[in-house]
Amino acid sequence: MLRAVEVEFSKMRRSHIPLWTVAIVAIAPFMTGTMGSADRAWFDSLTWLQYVRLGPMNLSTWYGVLLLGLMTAFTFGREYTEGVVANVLTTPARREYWVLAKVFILGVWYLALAVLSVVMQSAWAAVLGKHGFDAAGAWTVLSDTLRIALLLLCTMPVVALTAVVTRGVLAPMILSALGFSAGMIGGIAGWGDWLVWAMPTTIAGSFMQLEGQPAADLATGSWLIAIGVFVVGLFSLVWYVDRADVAS
Amino acid sequence: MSADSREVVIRTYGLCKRFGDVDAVRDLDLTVRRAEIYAFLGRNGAGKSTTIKLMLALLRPTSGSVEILGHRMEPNALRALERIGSMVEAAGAYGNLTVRENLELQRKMLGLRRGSWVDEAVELCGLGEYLDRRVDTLSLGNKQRVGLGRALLNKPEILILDEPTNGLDPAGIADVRALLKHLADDRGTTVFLSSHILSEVQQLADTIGIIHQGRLLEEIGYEELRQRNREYLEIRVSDLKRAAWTLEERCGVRDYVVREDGALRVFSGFDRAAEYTKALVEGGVSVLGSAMSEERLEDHFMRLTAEDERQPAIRG
Repeated sequence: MLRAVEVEFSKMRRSHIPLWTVAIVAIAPFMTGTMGSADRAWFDSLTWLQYVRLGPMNLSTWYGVLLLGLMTAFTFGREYTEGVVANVLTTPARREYWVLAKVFILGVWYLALAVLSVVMQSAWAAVLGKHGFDAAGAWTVLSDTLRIALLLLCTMPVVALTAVVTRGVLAPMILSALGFSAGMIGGIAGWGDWLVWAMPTTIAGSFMQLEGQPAADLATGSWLIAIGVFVVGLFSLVWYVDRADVAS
Repeated sequence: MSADSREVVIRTYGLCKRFGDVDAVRDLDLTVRRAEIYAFLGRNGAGKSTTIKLMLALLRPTSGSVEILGHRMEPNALRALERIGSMVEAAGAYGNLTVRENLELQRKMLGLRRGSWVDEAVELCGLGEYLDRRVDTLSLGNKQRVGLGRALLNKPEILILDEPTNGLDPAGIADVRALLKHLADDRGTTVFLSSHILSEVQQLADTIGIIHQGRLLEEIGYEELRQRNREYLEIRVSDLKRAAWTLEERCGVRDYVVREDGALRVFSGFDRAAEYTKALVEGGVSVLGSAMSEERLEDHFMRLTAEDERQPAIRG
Protein backbone atom coordinates (compact mmCIF):
# COMPACT_ATOMS: atom_id res chain seq x y z
CA MET A 1 0.00 0.00 0.00
CA LEU A 2 2.84 2.42 0.88
CA ARG A 3 4.44 1.56 -2.43
CA ALA A 4 1.22 2.46 -4.23
CA VAL A 5 1.09 5.79 -2.39
CA GLU A 6 4.71 6.53 -3.28
CA VAL A 7 4.00 5.72 -6.92
CA GLU A 8 0.96 8.01 -6.96
CA PHE A 9 3.04 10.86 -5.54
CA SER A 10 5.73 10.24 -8.18
CA LYS A 11 3.18 10.46 -10.98
CA MET A 12 2.43 14.07 -10.05
CA ARG A 13 5.94 15.25 -10.77
CA ARG A 14 5.91 18.12 -13.27
CA SER A 15 2.13 17.94 -13.58
CA HIS A 16 0.49 21.31 -13.95
CA ILE A 17 -2.75 20.46 -12.19
CA PRO A 18 -1.38 20.56 -8.61
CA LEU A 19 0.11 23.99 -9.32
CA TRP A 20 -3.16 25.19 -10.79
CA THR A 21 -5.08 24.08 -7.69
CA VAL A 22 -2.65 25.95 -5.44
CA ALA A 23 -2.99 29.02 -7.67
CA ILE A 24 -6.79 28.86 -7.53
CA VAL A 25 -6.80 28.60 -3.74
CA ALA A 26 -4.25 31.38 -3.45
CA ILE A 27 -6.21 33.72 -5.72
CA ALA A 28 -9.69 32.93 -4.35
CA PRO A 29 -9.43 35.31 -1.34
CA PHE A 30 -8.42 38.12 -3.70
CA MET A 31 -11.48 37.35 -5.83
CA THR A 32 -13.59 37.51 -2.67
CA GLY A 33 -12.19 40.94 -1.97
CA THR A 34 -12.76 42.13 -5.52
CA MET A 35 -16.34 40.87 -5.65
CA GLY A 36 -17.08 42.01 -2.13
CA SER A 37 -15.90 45.53 -2.87
CA ALA A 38 -18.92 45.95 -5.16
CA ASP A 39 -20.81 46.66 -1.95
CA ARG A 40 -18.22 49.05 -0.56
CA ALA A 41 -19.97 49.88 2.70
CA TRP A 42 -20.51 46.21 3.56
CA PHE A 43 -16.98 45.29 2.55
CA ASP A 44 -15.42 48.07 4.60
CA SER A 45 -17.43 47.05 7.64
CA LEU A 46 -15.99 43.52 7.70
CA THR A 47 -13.59 42.76 10.52
CA TRP A 48 -10.52 40.57 10.03
CA LEU A 49 -12.38 37.51 11.34
CA GLN A 50 -15.49 38.15 9.27
CA TYR A 51 -13.34 38.43 6.18
CA VAL A 52 -11.50 35.20 7.00
CA ARG A 53 -14.84 33.46 7.55
CA LEU A 54 -15.68 34.11 3.91
CA GLY A 55 -13.00 31.50 3.05
CA PRO A 56 -14.91 28.36 4.08
CA MET A 57 -18.07 29.91 2.69
CA ASN A 58 -16.46 30.22 -0.73
CA LEU A 59 -14.96 26.78 -0.46
CA SER A 60 -18.35 25.27 0.33
CA THR A 61 -20.45 27.12 -2.15
CA TRP A 62 -18.44 27.53 -5.29
CA TYR A 63 -14.88 26.61 -6.08
CA GLY A 64 -14.47 23.80 -3.52
CA VAL A 65 -16.70 21.28 -5.30
CA LEU A 66 -15.38 22.12 -8.75
CA LEU A 67 -11.79 22.05 -7.55
CA LEU A 68 -12.20 18.62 -6.03
CA GLY A 69 -13.92 17.46 -9.22
CA LEU A 70 -10.96 18.64 -11.26
CA MET A 71 -8.49 16.93 -8.97
CA THR A 72 -10.44 13.67 -8.92
CA ALA A 73 -10.94 13.65 -12.67
CA PHE A 74 -7.23 14.25 -13.14
CA THR A 75 -6.14 11.62 -10.64
CA PHE A 76 -8.43 8.82 -11.81
CA GLY A 77 -9.17 9.82 -15.38
CA ARG A 78 -5.62 10.44 -16.59
CA GLU A 79 -4.76 6.73 -16.43
CA TYR A 80 -7.39 6.24 -19.13
CA THR A 81 -6.75 9.34 -21.21
CA GLU A 82 -3.00 8.63 -21.28
CA GLY A 83 -3.59 4.96 -22.08
CA VAL A 84 -1.65 3.79 -19.03
CA VAL A 85 -4.39 1.93 -17.24
CA ALA A 86 -3.61 -1.45 -18.82
CA ASN A 87 -0.02 -1.22 -17.61
CA VAL A 88 -1.09 -0.17 -14.14
CA LEU A 89 -3.60 -2.99 -13.75
CA THR A 90 -1.24 -5.67 -15.03
CA THR A 91 1.48 -4.92 -12.53
CA PRO A 92 1.55 -7.33 -9.62
CA ALA A 93 -0.07 -5.04 -7.08
CA ARG A 94 -3.57 -5.32 -5.73
CA ARG A 95 -6.02 -3.14 -7.60
CA GLU A 96 -7.61 -2.01 -4.33
CA TYR A 97 -4.28 -0.45 -3.38
CA TRP A 98 -4.27 1.50 -6.61
CA VAL A 99 -7.69 2.93 -5.74
CA LEU A 100 -6.95 3.52 -2.06
CA ALA A 101 -3.63 5.19 -2.81
CA LYS A 102 -5.37 7.63 -5.14
CA VAL A 103 -8.08 8.31 -2.55
CA PHE A 104 -5.39 8.90 0.05
CA ILE A 105 -3.46 11.27 -2.21
CA LEU A 106 -6.62 13.22 -3.01
CA GLY A 107 -7.48 13.44 0.68
CA VAL A 108 -4.06 14.79 1.63
CA TRP A 109 -3.99 17.14 -1.34
CA TYR A 110 -7.46 18.56 -0.68
CA LEU A 111 -6.99 18.98 3.07
CA ALA A 112 -3.70 20.76 2.38
CA LEU A 113 -5.52 23.09 -0.01
CA ALA A 114 -8.20 23.71 2.63
CA VAL A 115 -5.52 24.75 5.13
CA LEU A 116 -3.90 26.90 2.46
CA SER A 117 -7.24 28.58 1.77
CA VAL A 118 -7.47 29.70 5.40
CA VAL A 119 -3.86 30.89 5.42
CA MET A 120 -4.36 32.85 2.21
CA GLN A 121 -7.69 34.26 3.36
CA SER A 122 -5.99 35.43 6.57
CA ALA A 123 -3.08 36.90 4.64
CA TRP A 124 -5.39 38.80 2.29
CA ALA A 125 -7.34 40.10 5.28
CA ALA A 126 -4.09 41.49 6.68
CA VAL A 127 -3.07 42.94 3.30
CA LEU A 128 -6.43 44.68 3.04
CA GLY A 129 -5.83 46.20 6.46
CA LYS A 130 -8.73 44.49 8.20
CA HIS A 131 -8.71 44.95 11.93
CA GLY A 132 -9.86 42.67 14.71
CA PHE A 133 -7.41 39.80 14.54
CA ASP A 134 -8.83 36.92 16.59
CA ALA A 135 -6.64 33.84 17.04
CA ALA A 136 -9.39 31.72 18.61
CA GLY A 137 -11.75 32.74 15.84
CA ALA A 138 -9.13 31.79 13.25
CA TRP A 139 -8.87 28.30 14.73
CA THR A 140 -12.65 27.96 14.49
CA VAL A 141 -12.51 28.96 10.83
CA LEU A 142 -9.75 26.42 10.23
CA SER A 143 -11.80 23.73 11.96
CA ASP A 144 -14.88 24.63 9.90
CA THR A 145 -12.85 24.62 6.71
CA LEU A 146 -11.40 21.19 7.41
CA ARG A 147 -14.85 19.81 8.22
CA ILE A 148 -16.16 21.24 4.96
CA ALA A 149 -13.24 19.69 3.11
CA LEU A 150 -13.96 16.33 4.74
CA LEU A 151 -17.63 16.56 3.75
CA LEU A 152 -16.71 17.29 0.16
CA LEU A 153 -14.19 14.45 0.19
CA CYS A 154 -17.06 12.14 1.09
CA THR A 155 -18.46 12.80 -2.40
CA MET A 156 -15.12 12.13 -4.10
CA PRO A 157 -15.45 8.33 -4.63
CA VAL A 158 -18.64 8.90 -6.60
CA VAL A 159 -16.82 11.34 -8.88
CA ALA A 160 -13.89 8.92 -9.13
CA LEU A 161 -16.27 6.09 -10.06
CA THR A 162 -17.64 8.26 -12.85
CA ALA A 163 -14.10 8.85 -14.12
CA VAL A 164 -13.34 5.13 -14.11
CA VAL A 165 -16.64 4.04 -15.65
CA THR A 166 -16.49 6.64 -18.42
CA ARG A 167 -12.69 6.28 -18.78
CA GLY A 168 -11.97 9.95 -18.93
CA VAL A 169 -12.12 13.36 -17.30
CA LEU A 170 -15.15 15.05 -18.85
CA ALA A 171 -17.96 13.11 -17.16
CA PRO A 172 -16.56 13.51 -13.63
CA MET A 173 -16.22 17.24 -14.23
CA ILE A 174 -19.83 17.40 -15.36
CA LEU A 175 -20.87 15.44 -12.29
CA SER A 176 -18.96 17.89 -10.10
CA ALA A 177 -20.70 20.80 -11.76
CA LEU A 178 -24.04 19.11 -11.02
CA GLY A 179 -22.90 18.53 -7.43
CA PHE A 180 -21.99 22.18 -7.18
CA SER A 181 -25.44 23.20 -8.47
CA ALA A 182 -27.15 20.76 -6.12
CA GLY A 183 -25.15 22.19 -3.23
CA MET A 184 -26.20 25.75 -4.08
CA ILE A 185 -29.85 24.86 -4.59
CA GLY A 186 -29.85 22.55 -1.56
CA GLY A 187 -28.25 25.24 0.57
CA ILE A 188 -30.89 27.80 -0.36
CA ALA A 189 -33.71 25.25 -0.05
CA GLY A 190 -32.56 24.19 3.41
CA TRP A 191 -31.51 20.64 2.46
CA GLY A 192 -28.15 21.06 4.12
CA ASP A 193 -28.92 18.45 6.77
CA TRP A 194 -29.20 15.51 4.41
CA LEU A 195 -27.84 16.43 0.96
CA VAL A 196 -24.08 15.87 1.10
CA TRP A 197 -23.24 18.55 -1.46
CA ALA A 198 -25.30 21.08 0.53
CA MET A 199 -23.98 20.14 3.98
CA PRO A 200 -20.90 22.40 3.73
CA THR A 201 -23.17 25.41 3.39
CA THR A 202 -24.68 24.57 6.78
CA ILE A 203 -21.26 24.60 8.45
CA ALA A 204 -20.12 27.71 6.60
CA GLY A 205 -23.45 29.40 7.17
CA SER A 206 -23.39 30.49 3.55
CA PHE A 207 -27.08 31.05 3.01
CA MET A 208 -28.05 31.40 6.66
CA GLN A 209 -25.99 34.51 6.87
CA LEU A 210 -28.02 35.93 4.03
CA GLU A 211 -30.99 35.58 6.34
CA GLY A 212 -29.07 36.88 9.33
CA GLN A 213 -28.79 33.44 10.96
CA PRO A 214 -25.52 32.16 12.41
CA ALA A 215 -23.68 29.14 11.02
CA ALA A 216 -24.94 25.85 12.42
CA ASP A 217 -23.37 22.53 13.28
CA LEU A 218 -24.28 19.37 11.48
CA ALA A 219 -26.18 16.73 13.42
CA THR A 220 -24.69 13.25 13.83
CA GLY A 221 -27.24 11.92 11.37
CA SER A 222 -25.91 14.24 8.68
CA TRP A 223 -22.37 13.01 9.25
CA LEU A 224 -23.61 9.43 9.03
CA ILE A 225 -25.20 10.21 5.68
CA ALA A 226 -21.95 11.76 4.45
CA ILE A 227 -19.87 8.81 5.66
CA GLY A 228 -22.41 6.43 4.11
CA VAL A 229 -22.02 8.17 0.74
CA PHE A 230 -18.25 7.86 1.06
CA VAL A 231 -18.30 4.18 2.04
CA VAL A 232 -20.81 3.16 -0.64
CA GLY A 233 -18.92 5.20 -3.24
CA LEU A 234 -15.58 3.71 -2.26
CA PHE A 235 -16.87 0.13 -2.24
CA SER A 236 -18.49 0.64 -5.63
CA LEU A 237 -15.27 2.11 -6.99
CA VAL A 238 -13.13 -0.76 -5.71
CA TRP A 239 -15.67 -3.31 -6.92
CA TYR A 240 -15.77 -1.76 -10.37
CA VAL A 241 -12.00 -1.59 -10.78
CA ASP A 242 -11.66 -5.12 -9.48
CA ARG A 243 -14.50 -6.85 -11.30
CA ALA A 244 -15.60 -4.95 -14.37
CA ASP A 245 -13.92 -4.76 -17.75
CA VAL A 246 -11.45 -1.96 -17.40
CA ALA A 247 -10.26 -1.77 -20.97
CA SER A 248 -11.92 -2.71 -24.19
CA MET B 1 13.66 -30.94 -28.64
CA SER B 2 10.25 -31.18 -30.27
CA ALA B 3 7.85 -28.37 -29.54
CA ASP B 4 5.31 -30.67 -27.95
CA SER B 5 7.64 -31.81 -25.17
CA ARG B 6 8.04 -28.30 -23.81
CA GLU B 7 6.09 -27.09 -20.81
CA VAL B 8 2.83 -25.33 -21.58
CA VAL B 9 2.96 -21.86 -20.00
CA ILE B 10 -0.18 -20.26 -21.44
CA ARG B 11 -3.37 -22.12 -22.09
CA THR B 12 -6.87 -20.86 -22.80
CA TYR B 13 -9.91 -23.06 -22.41
CA GLY B 14 -12.95 -22.31 -24.55
CA LEU B 15 -12.37 -18.60 -24.13
CA CYS B 16 -15.30 -16.43 -25.18
CA LYS B 17 -15.93 -12.71 -24.95
CA ARG B 18 -19.11 -11.05 -26.08
CA PHE B 19 -19.65 -7.29 -26.25
CA GLY B 20 -23.39 -6.75 -26.62
CA ASP B 21 -24.33 -8.64 -29.77
CA VAL B 22 -20.77 -9.02 -30.99
CA ASP B 23 -18.73 -12.14 -30.33
CA ALA B 24 -15.23 -10.69 -30.13
CA VAL B 25 -13.64 -14.01 -29.17
CA ARG B 26 -15.24 -17.39 -29.65
CA ASP B 27 -14.30 -20.69 -28.09
CA LEU B 28 -10.58 -20.02 -28.20
CA ASP B 29 -8.19 -22.78 -27.17
CA LEU B 30 -4.60 -21.58 -27.31
CA THR B 31 -1.48 -23.40 -26.21
CA VAL B 32 1.81 -21.58 -25.78
CA ARG B 33 4.95 -23.44 -24.76
CA ARG B 34 7.96 -22.28 -22.80
CA ALA B 35 10.65 -20.28 -24.61
CA GLU B 36 8.81 -20.15 -27.89
CA ILE B 37 7.84 -17.10 -29.86
CA TYR B 38 4.15 -17.39 -30.53
CA ALA B 39 2.79 -15.06 -33.19
CA PHE B 40 -0.90 -14.37 -32.94
CA LEU B 41 -2.02 -13.26 -36.36
CA GLY B 42 -5.23 -11.67 -37.46
CA ARG B 43 -6.66 -8.81 -39.39
CA ASN B 44 -7.67 -5.61 -37.63
CA GLY B 45 -10.68 -6.40 -35.47
CA ALA B 46 -10.09 -10.15 -35.56
CA GLY B 47 -9.98 -10.38 -31.76
CA LYS B 48 -6.23 -10.26 -31.06
CA SER B 49 -6.26 -7.39 -28.57
CA THR B 50 -9.37 -8.71 -26.85
CA THR B 51 -7.67 -12.08 -26.42
CA ILE B 52 -4.59 -10.43 -24.92
CA LYS B 53 -6.72 -8.40 -22.53
CA LEU B 54 -8.54 -11.55 -21.50
CA MET B 55 -5.19 -13.22 -20.89
CA LEU B 56 -4.10 -10.36 -18.64
CA ALA B 57 -7.44 -10.22 -16.81
CA LEU B 58 -8.17 -6.74 -18.09
CA LEU B 59 -11.40 -8.14 -19.46
CA ARG B 60 -13.60 -10.78 -17.87
CA PRO B 61 -14.37 -13.70 -20.15
CA THR B 62 -18.01 -14.35 -20.98
CA SER B 63 -17.08 -18.01 -20.61
CA GLY B 64 -13.92 -20.09 -20.56
CA SER B 65 -10.70 -19.34 -18.74
CA VAL B 66 -7.00 -18.52 -19.09
CA GLU B 67 -4.19 -20.24 -17.26
CA ILE B 68 -0.69 -18.77 -17.23
CA LEU B 69 2.21 -20.50 -15.47
CA GLY B 70 -0.32 -22.69 -13.71
CA HIS B 71 -2.34 -19.77 -12.35
CA ARG B 72 -5.87 -19.01 -13.40
CA MET B 73 -5.87 -15.44 -14.64
CA GLU B 74 -8.28 -13.14 -12.88
CA PRO B 75 -7.93 -9.67 -11.36
CA ASN B 76 -5.20 -9.70 -8.72
CA ALA B 77 -3.62 -12.89 -10.02
CA LEU B 78 -0.46 -11.46 -8.52
CA ARG B 79 1.69 -14.58 -8.55
CA ALA B 80 1.30 -14.91 -12.28
CA LEU B 81 1.61 -11.18 -12.99
CA GLU B 82 4.95 -11.10 -11.13
CA ARG B 83 6.37 -13.34 -13.87
CA ILE B 84 4.75 -11.65 -16.85
CA GLY B 85 5.78 -8.55 -18.75
CA SER B 86 3.19 -7.01 -21.01
CA MET B 87 2.54 -4.19 -23.38
CA VAL B 88 -1.04 -3.63 -24.40
CA GLU B 89 -2.27 -1.25 -27.05
CA ALA B 90 -0.34 1.99 -27.37
CA ALA B 91 2.39 1.34 -24.80
CA GLY B 92 1.04 4.09 -22.58
CA ALA B 93 3.44 6.06 -20.44
CA TYR B 94 3.08 9.21 -18.38
CA GLY B 95 3.79 12.04 -20.78
CA ASN B 96 4.76 14.51 -18.06
CA LEU B 97 7.58 12.22 -16.87
CA THR B 98 10.89 11.45 -18.51
CA VAL B 99 11.77 8.02 -19.85
CA ARG B 100 13.92 7.41 -16.78
CA GLU B 101 11.11 8.47 -14.44
CA ASN B 102 8.62 6.24 -16.22
CA LEU B 103 10.94 3.27 -15.87
CA GLU B 104 11.63 4.13 -12.22
CA LEU B 105 7.89 4.37 -11.64
CA GLN B 106 7.40 0.93 -13.11
CA ARG B 107 10.26 -0.39 -10.98
CA LYS B 108 8.53 0.95 -7.88
CA MET B 109 5.20 -0.49 -8.96
CA LEU B 110 6.85 -3.85 -9.37
CA GLY B 111 8.44 -3.54 -5.96
CA LEU B 112 11.93 -4.08 -7.35
CA ARG B 113 14.96 -2.78 -5.51
CA ARG B 114 17.15 -0.17 -7.14
CA GLY B 115 19.63 -2.00 -9.30
CA SER B 116 20.55 -3.03 -12.75
CA TRP B 117 17.06 -3.79 -14.03
CA VAL B 118 16.42 -0.32 -15.35
CA ASP B 119 19.89 -0.08 -16.91
CA GLU B 120 19.46 -3.42 -18.57
CA ALA B 121 16.05 -2.58 -19.97
CA VAL B 122 17.42 0.73 -21.23
CA GLU B 123 20.26 -1.04 -22.99
CA LEU B 124 18.08 -3.78 -24.46
CA CYS B 125 15.58 -1.30 -25.86
CA GLY B 126 18.09 1.29 -27.01
CA LEU B 127 16.67 4.01 -24.80
CA GLY B 128 19.98 5.44 -23.60
CA GLU B 129 19.87 8.69 -25.50
CA TYR B 130 16.25 9.42 -24.57
CA LEU B 131 16.47 8.79 -20.84
CA ASP B 132 16.05 12.40 -19.77
CA ARG B 133 13.47 13.35 -22.34
CA ARG B 134 9.83 13.70 -21.43
CA VAL B 135 7.79 10.91 -22.97
CA ASP B 136 5.34 13.32 -24.59
CA THR B 137 8.20 14.66 -26.73
CA LEU B 138 9.11 11.23 -28.14
CA SER B 139 8.10 9.77 -31.48
CA LEU B 140 5.54 6.96 -31.56
CA GLY B 141 8.28 4.44 -32.22
CA ASN B 142 10.31 5.56 -29.24
CA LYS B 143 7.24 5.52 -27.02
CA GLN B 144 6.87 1.92 -28.14
CA ARG B 145 10.44 1.27 -26.98
CA VAL B 146 9.59 2.76 -23.59
CA GLY B 147 6.63 0.40 -23.37
CA LEU B 148 8.90 -2.52 -24.20
CA GLY B 149 11.42 -1.36 -21.62
CA ARG B 150 8.71 -1.25 -18.97
CA ALA B 151 7.58 -4.73 -19.91
CA LEU B 152 11.11 -6.07 -19.47
CA LEU B 153 11.84 -4.55 -16.07
CA ASN B 154 10.88 -7.58 -14.01
CA LYS B 155 12.86 -9.96 -16.23
CA PRO B 156 9.65 -11.73 -17.15
CA GLU B 157 9.37 -15.40 -17.98
CA ILE B 158 6.56 -14.51 -20.35
CA LEU B 159 6.25 -11.43 -22.51
CA ILE B 160 2.80 -10.63 -23.84
CA LEU B 161 2.94 -7.92 -26.48
CA ASP B 162 0.11 -6.40 -28.47
CA GLU B 163 1.38 -5.20 -31.84
CA PRO B 164 4.88 -4.40 -30.49
CA THR B 165 6.23 -2.95 -33.72
CA ASN B 166 3.42 -0.46 -34.32
CA GLY B 167 4.90 2.88 -35.25
CA LEU B 168 8.47 1.64 -35.56
CA ASP B 169 10.57 2.36 -38.62
CA PRO B 170 12.17 -0.59 -40.50
CA ALA B 171 15.36 -0.34 -38.43
CA GLY B 172 13.30 -0.25 -35.24
CA ILE B 173 11.32 -3.29 -36.36
CA ALA B 174 14.55 -5.17 -37.00
CA ASP B 175 15.81 -4.16 -33.53
CA VAL B 176 12.66 -5.43 -31.85
CA ARG B 177 12.87 -8.64 -33.83
CA ALA B 178 16.46 -9.16 -32.72
CA LEU B 179 15.57 -8.34 -29.12
CA LEU B 180 12.71 -10.81 -28.98
CA LYS B 181 14.84 -13.48 -30.61
CA HIS B 182 17.59 -12.83 -28.05
CA LEU B 183 15.13 -13.02 -25.15
CA ALA B 184 13.67 -16.29 -26.36
CA ASP B 185 16.93 -17.97 -27.38
CA ASP B 186 19.29 -16.76 -24.66
CA ARG B 187 17.01 -16.21 -21.70
CA GLY B 188 14.30 -18.73 -22.37
CA THR B 189 11.63 -16.02 -22.32
CA THR B 190 8.33 -17.03 -23.83
CA VAL B 191 7.07 -14.36 -26.20
CA PHE B 192 3.42 -14.09 -27.18
CA LEU B 193 2.91 -11.29 -29.67
CA SER B 194 0.05 -10.20 -31.81
CA SER B 195 0.53 -8.73 -35.23
CA HIS B 196 -1.20 -8.10 -38.50
CA ILE B 197 2.10 -7.60 -40.32
CA LEU B 198 2.87 -11.06 -41.58
CA SER B 199 6.31 -10.38 -43.00
CA GLU B 200 7.49 -9.41 -39.51
CA VAL B 201 6.30 -12.61 -37.96
CA GLN B 202 7.59 -14.83 -40.74
CA GLN B 203 11.17 -14.22 -39.65
CA LEU B 204 10.53 -14.63 -35.97
CA ALA B 205 7.84 -17.03 -34.90
CA ASP B 206 8.15 -20.61 -33.73
CA THR B 207 4.40 -21.06 -33.60
CA ILE B 208 1.65 -19.21 -35.36
CA GLY B 209 -1.94 -18.85 -34.28
CA ILE B 210 -4.35 -17.40 -36.81
CA ILE B 211 -7.48 -15.74 -35.49
CA HIS B 212 -10.32 -14.59 -37.68
CA GLN B 213 -13.63 -13.13 -36.57
CA GLY B 214 -12.85 -14.20 -33.02
CA ARG B 215 -12.11 -17.85 -33.83
CA LEU B 216 -8.76 -19.56 -33.83
CA LEU B 217 -8.49 -20.99 -37.33
CA GLU B 218 -5.16 -22.65 -36.93
CA GLU B 219 -2.31 -23.09 -34.48
CA ILE B 220 0.74 -24.48 -36.15
CA GLY B 221 4.50 -24.60 -35.74
CA TYR B 222 6.17 -22.38 -38.29
CA GLU B 223 8.55 -25.16 -39.25
CA GLU B 224 5.64 -27.48 -39.86
CA LEU B 225 3.98 -24.82 -41.93
CA ARG B 226 7.13 -24.39 -43.95
CA GLN B 227 7.43 -28.11 -44.51
CA ARG B 228 3.93 -28.42 -45.73
CA ASN B 229 4.13 -25.26 -47.78
CA ARG B 230 1.59 -25.82 -50.37
CA GLU B 231 2.29 -25.47 -53.99
CA TYR B 232 -0.27 -23.74 -56.09
CA LEU B 233 -1.09 -22.99 -59.64
CA GLU B 234 -1.54 -19.28 -60.18
CA ILE B 235 -3.70 -18.34 -63.13
CA ARG B 236 -3.92 -14.70 -64.13
CA VAL B 237 -7.21 -13.95 -65.83
CA SER B 238 -9.19 -11.07 -67.30
CA ASP B 239 -12.39 -11.68 -65.31
CA LEU B 240 -11.99 -13.13 -61.83
CA LYS B 241 -15.64 -13.64 -61.07
CA ARG B 242 -16.36 -15.53 -64.26
CA ALA B 243 -13.13 -17.49 -63.92
CA ALA B 244 -14.04 -18.62 -60.40
CA TRP B 245 -17.50 -19.65 -61.55
CA THR B 246 -16.08 -21.52 -64.54
CA LEU B 247 -13.53 -23.44 -62.48
CA GLU B 248 -16.13 -24.44 -59.92
CA GLU B 249 -18.89 -25.36 -62.35
CA ARG B 250 -16.96 -26.88 -65.22
CA CYS B 251 -13.96 -28.39 -63.46
CA GLY B 252 -15.32 -28.96 -59.94
CA VAL B 253 -12.46 -27.00 -58.37
CA ARG B 254 -13.13 -26.03 -54.74
CA ASP B 255 -9.62 -25.58 -53.26
CA TYR B 256 -8.74 -22.16 -54.61
CA VAL B 257 -8.57 -18.51 -53.62
CA VAL B 258 -9.31 -15.36 -55.54
CA ARG B 259 -6.59 -12.76 -55.25
CA GLU B 260 -7.19 -9.04 -55.51
CA ASP B 261 -4.33 -8.71 -57.99
CA GLY B 262 -6.28 -10.41 -60.78
CA ALA B 263 -5.14 -13.98 -60.14
CA LEU B 264 -6.68 -17.23 -58.97
CA ARG B 265 -4.66 -19.70 -56.95
CA VAL B 266 -5.60 -23.34 -57.26
CA PHE B 267 -4.15 -25.67 -54.65
CA SER B 268 -4.88 -29.08 -56.11
CA GLY B 269 -5.26 -30.92 -59.40
CA PHE B 270 -2.13 -29.45 -60.96
CA ASP B 271 -2.10 -32.22 -63.58
CA ARG B 272 -5.34 -30.75 -64.88
CA ALA B 273 -3.79 -27.33 -65.58
CA ALA B 274 -4.40 -27.62 -69.28
CA GLU B 275 -8.02 -28.57 -68.68
CA TYR B 276 -8.50 -25.49 -66.49
CA THR B 277 -7.05 -23.21 -69.15
CA LYS B 278 -9.26 -24.72 -71.82
CA ALA B 279 -12.38 -24.42 -69.66
CA LEU B 280 -11.62 -20.81 -68.89
CA VAL B 281 -11.08 -19.88 -72.52
CA GLU B 282 -14.27 -21.70 -73.52
CA GLY B 283 -16.04 -19.85 -70.72
CA GLY B 284 -15.05 -16.52 -72.26
CA VAL B 285 -12.21 -15.73 -69.85
CA SER B 286 -8.86 -14.58 -71.20
CA VAL B 287 -5.97 -16.40 -69.53
CA LEU B 288 -3.12 -13.90 -69.19
CA GLY B 289 -0.66 -16.37 -67.74
CA SER B 290 -0.25 -19.29 -65.38
CA ALA B 291 2.59 -20.62 -63.24
CA MET B 292 3.33 -23.00 -60.41
CA SER B 293 4.47 -21.44 -57.14
CA GLU B 294 4.85 -22.05 -53.39
CA GLU B 295 2.66 -20.69 -50.63
CA ARG B 296 4.12 -18.16 -48.23
CA LEU B 297 2.76 -17.27 -44.80
CA GLU B 298 0.81 -14.39 -46.23
CA ASP B 299 -0.78 -16.65 -48.81
CA HIS B 300 -1.55 -19.22 -46.15
CA PHE B 301 -3.17 -16.57 -43.97
CA MET B 302 -5.22 -15.15 -46.82
CA ARG B 303 -6.39 -18.58 -47.89
CA LEU B 304 -7.40 -19.64 -44.40
CA THR B 305 -9.33 -16.47 -43.66
CA ALA B 306 -10.96 -16.50 -47.09
CA GLU B 307 -12.05 -20.09 -46.60
CA ASP B 308 -13.46 -19.18 -43.21
CA GLU B 309 -15.50 -16.39 -44.74
CA ARG B 310 -16.92 -18.80 -47.31
CA GLN B 311 -18.26 -21.08 -44.58
CA PRO B 312 -20.76 -19.03 -42.61
CA ALA B 313 -23.11 -21.96 -42.20
CA ILE B 314 -20.49 -24.12 -40.52
CA ARG B 315 -19.49 -21.29 -38.18
CA GLY B 316 -23.07 -20.61 -37.13
